[in-house]
Amino acid sequence: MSLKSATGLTLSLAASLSLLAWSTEGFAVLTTDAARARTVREAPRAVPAVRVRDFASVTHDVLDDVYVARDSAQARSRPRAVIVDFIYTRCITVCSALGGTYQQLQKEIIARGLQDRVRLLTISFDVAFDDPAHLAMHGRVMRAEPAIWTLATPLRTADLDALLNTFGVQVIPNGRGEWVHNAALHVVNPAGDLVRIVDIGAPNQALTAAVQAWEAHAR
Amino acid sequence: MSTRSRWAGGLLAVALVLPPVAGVLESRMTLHMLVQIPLLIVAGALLVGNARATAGVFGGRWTRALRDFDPNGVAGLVVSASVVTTWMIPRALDLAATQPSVDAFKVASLLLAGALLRHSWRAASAITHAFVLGNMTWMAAVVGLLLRDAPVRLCTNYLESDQVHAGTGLLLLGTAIGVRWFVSLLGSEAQQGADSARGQHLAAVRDERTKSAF
Repeated sequence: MSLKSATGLTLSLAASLSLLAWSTEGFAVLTTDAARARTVREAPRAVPAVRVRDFASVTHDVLDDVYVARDSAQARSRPRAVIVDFIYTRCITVCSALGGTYQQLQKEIIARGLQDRVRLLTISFDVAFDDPAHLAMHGRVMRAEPAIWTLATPLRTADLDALLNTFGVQVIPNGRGEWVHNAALHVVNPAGDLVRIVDIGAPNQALTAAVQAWEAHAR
Repeated sequence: MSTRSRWAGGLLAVALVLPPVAGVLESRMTLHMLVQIPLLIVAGALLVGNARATAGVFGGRWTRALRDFDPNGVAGLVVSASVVTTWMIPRALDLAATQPSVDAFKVASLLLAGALLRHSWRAASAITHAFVLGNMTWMAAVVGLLLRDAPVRLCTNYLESDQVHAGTGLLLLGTAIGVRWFVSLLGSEAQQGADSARGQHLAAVRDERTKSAF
């Protein structure tokens, strides 16, 4: 083997490995969802303070904790961790599954007495349709307890885009007038940073991460 | 021939990256994986022209450099294979569909892969052909099966039904290329067999003549 052909082979192997390493973040991930979960875990992202209108027609910053339980002195003094998900209320597929998961999470939070530490926030990306009335109806159907679980919609499309961008959520039309999106459970720590993204099939993992985020912040 | 091939390759490449065309082709996983990407490889191969008609595939200097640095085609085929593999990764496909810079890189890498494939395939031995093609068609088929059977969407840009279709297409494409190559291999074996049989016959005739001369 000549020096030139050895050089050629070495260069081609180096180029190939670099290319594959680039596309898989160093052979760690194959999908966009895995990549965003990994990125967030290693470098938490600040959630932009966009304005939202909630199910009770109250306008506030997206992470403002408006409905702290009245009997909870601790929650008033210390901010809670939030588990965020994205839905639209007209959705009949993955959002219903998410709703079920959130009901389960709410039950678990009450059962384990974590109301002072963790809350749930559902954000609708259907800015045009999901007004406070629709959000409130969805909340009633889901039996959402406002002190634990709130629902809101960004006021402006640009705000929505900023949120979706930060959370790495991509909403695409499915061609039948509905939307499809990469659903997940997003854990935001009390300081307002997105610290973990968990599969919707693992609500307990999300709850554990949220409690840990709260404890890390309380320390 | 060579000039015409280059024109065809150039036109094909331009047509594939025109924003309206690329927009449609990248709107569906099936079109992205099974139409745009394979055709970009074909365009790359056409762009470098026909080796036999000219001094070389890339034109004099490049051909000489390739002959020196990639005498047995292995280096070029490794790069081509890794480029093709990269654009089968869901994350890479997502990035190409959403980020113009990545999309431009995708186009450039696939044109290069096509060009290298044409040059290096000629330079490579039958064993190298078997290794590369065996691996690539097998991988395409397996990725196809995975796309068909995945319980979740793998690309955030594409629908699940689209993913299943892309999987079926990739499975068929991988199988078709594998079968096509195998058939051509059988054909060339048969040809070689015929050649060597004729060679033996001629040798025998020559022997006869030599004998009768004495």
